[in-house]
This record gives sequence, structure tokens and C-alpha cells, in this order.
Amino acid sequence: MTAEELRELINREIDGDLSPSEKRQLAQALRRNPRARLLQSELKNVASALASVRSVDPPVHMAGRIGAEIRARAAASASVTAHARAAVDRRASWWEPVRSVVLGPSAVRYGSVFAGGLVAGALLFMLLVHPQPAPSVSGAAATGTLLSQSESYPVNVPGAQGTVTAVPTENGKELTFRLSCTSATTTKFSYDPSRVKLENLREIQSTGGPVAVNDGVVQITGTGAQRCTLLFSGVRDSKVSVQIASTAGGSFHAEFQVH
Amino acid sequence: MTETSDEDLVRQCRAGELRAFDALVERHQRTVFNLALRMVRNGDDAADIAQTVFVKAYENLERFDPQYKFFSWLYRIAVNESLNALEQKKRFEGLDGVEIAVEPADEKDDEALRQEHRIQVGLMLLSVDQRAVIILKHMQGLSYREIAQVLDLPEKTVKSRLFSARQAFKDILKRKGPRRNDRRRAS
Repeated sequence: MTAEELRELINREIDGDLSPSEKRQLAQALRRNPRARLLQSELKNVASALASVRSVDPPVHMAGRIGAEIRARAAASASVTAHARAAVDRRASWWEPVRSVVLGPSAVRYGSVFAGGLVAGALLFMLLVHPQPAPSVSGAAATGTLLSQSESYPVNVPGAQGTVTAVPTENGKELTFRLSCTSATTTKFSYDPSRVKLENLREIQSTGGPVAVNDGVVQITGTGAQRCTLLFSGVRDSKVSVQIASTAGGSFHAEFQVH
Repeated sequence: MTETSDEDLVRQCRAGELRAFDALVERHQRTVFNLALRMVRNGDDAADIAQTVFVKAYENLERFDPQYKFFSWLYRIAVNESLNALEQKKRFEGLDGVEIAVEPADEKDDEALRQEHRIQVGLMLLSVDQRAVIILKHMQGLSYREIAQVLDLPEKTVKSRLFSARQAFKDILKRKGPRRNDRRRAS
């Protein structure tokens, strides 16, 4: 047996990889070779020293942080898909009538173009002579104290009609927000980041636009009708506020104190 | 009650069940964190690496081949991310090796702690390839075949790398043993 083969057998013995005949072969070789016995002893010591190193506990918040990150990405990914689908739908919706006119019989085609010109002219006239007033900023506010039952507030401001519902569970240990809006809005859920950590955001689901989570604020930018759900834990004895701003200038604010 | 297998949890995740991924994180976070910790030596860096590992695993779940074990795939991402982190640190510091601040072992530490300290310093003096194979074998308890899957190497190469790594590690510990309050360079 060469020195290299012997070294391999010693190493494989440490790893529990020898067959019974290889074990006998090694035992014979070791009896005749004191240097090989020393190597075997040293390598066994190395293996047992390495095996004795204790496993370290990961940081307590690590799993929660990972969960929140995954949920934010899942929500963002869902909204990107929704945006892509909406873009395709939009393209189809304007193209269909145009296609039927452009590709239709010539009488219909010329008639439609003439009628379209009249309508466009009328609209232009109305816009120039009677300009629309700028959207007024109107607001609505609500505050609630949550004990064990859910509270629901209607959102009815320009550009945003829907409902904000806060549902406490497990005696205020968890709080679920459900929001539905009919049009484009920016919604901010604010909480005290010193009390509610990122890992307390147990679930974020949105059919609206991109979701951003940043130091005490979850912001959802929706481009159209949307529904979203947020599940917080660890919010007992703290406040969570919801701010909705629509592109039409409407604003809504609700604040929830959880006991 | 039997525990849901990793493979079943992966299937549930692919069907959009996020809580199944929470269960995978809960199950593997300790080993992934410890693997990264032994590779890079720094707890904060190891936690960041572990987070990146799970996020990448989630984002690439569709590419996971179920004929392999989920943990092998996860460990492969963990080893690669640890190597990336070491590489970035090296580039950032502009050194041919990373300056490793070895935390001093306190006088009151028991022998076991001092031994762990020596081992960790010894690990950092190995090449990253040797370090990875030693950690996977002796700290994670993987077989040659599993290590080969994680490192994407032939089993034969894993064996020879492991044997030479063990020899090098023995020599490091034997040479003089890292001194306390030591600051050394390792890659």
C-alpha cells in the first residue's frame, strides 16, 4: 500500500466510509507504521474538535425579517403581473373599436371619421370655453379604539370609494386591515417602528400596485381598483394609522388605537 | 403526527402558500445561519447572508429540481452567497486577504470556548474552498455525495479536497495555534 493510499484510508475511516475488508487492511498497515498511527490520531483529534463546535442561535428576529421580505416581494410580484395584464387589456380595449372602423366598409369608415371629428371638436370647445374646476381636496377622518370587534369605515372621497376594515384577533395581538378602493390611490399604513418591527408584518397582499415597506410605513401605490390586506402582530397598545390619497385629490385618514 | 416534508412544503409554496415557506425558514434557518457564520465569521454578516439565501430560494423556487434534496439546494445558495460576501469584503477593503478581527477569548472563558475560538480562527486561515468542505462535513454532517451536490463537484474531488483540508487544518492547529487577541489575514 502506498503512503497516499494509506492516507486516504485513514481519512475515509474518520468519515465512516470504510468497508469491513478495508478496515482490516488499515488495521494491518497501522500496526507496522507508527507514523501512520500518529497521523490517524491527529486527524481524529481534528475531527472531534470540529464536531465539538456548538451551533449558534440565529438572531431572534431573523425569521420574521425574512417572512416580511418574502411577503413584500410576493405582493410586488403579484402587482407587476396585474399591471402587465392591465396593460394588455388597455391595448385591446382601444384597438378593437379603431380596428373595426379602419378595417370596416368604406361608407362606415368615412361616416365614423366624420362623426368622430365632430365629437372631438365639441369636446375641445367645452374644454377651452368651460374649463373644468381643479379637483378639490376633500378629506375624511375617522378614529377608532379597537377592543375585540372589528371596525369599518367607509371611504368616500373624490377618486376613492371603498372601505377600510380593521379586524383585531386574539385579544389585540394581531390586527388585520382590509381595504378596497375603486380607483387609483396611494395608501400609507403607518405604525410606530420602535414598537412594531418589520417581522410583525405577517402578511401583505395587494391587487393594486407596488408595495414599499420602509421604517414604519407600508405604502401601496395602486393604479386602479384594488384590494389589499395587511396583517400586523404585536400592535397591542399601539396606534396604526391609514392614509389614503387619490390622484383626484381626495384624502382619507383613519387612526386605530389597539387595546 | 408526521412532519410535513420539505418537498411537500415546496409544493405548497409553489401553489402560493406563503406560510409553507415560513415553515421551511423555521426549519432551516439555524443551519443556514451557522453555515454562513462559520464561512464569514461575523454574526451580522451571517444573518444578512441567511436572509439573502432564503429570499433567493423563494424567488427561484420554480427552478428547484425536486430530484435533489431541498436542503442541498439551500446550502448551495448559502455557500455561494458566503463566497460572494467574502469577495465583496475583499474588494471593498482592497486587500489580498480580509482582515479578520478575532474576538479575544476572555480569561474567564472555559476551555471549550477557547477551543472553539482556536477552531474558528483556524478555519479562517484555510482557503475558502477548503473551509467550505470542512464546514459541510464536520459541522453540518453532510455525506460526500451531499457535499458534491452542494458544491457541484465530483465526489472524488470532494474527498481529495476534504482530506487535504483536514491535513491543512491539522497543521494550522499544530503549528502554534492561533494566539489570543490575534489579528490575521485570511481570505
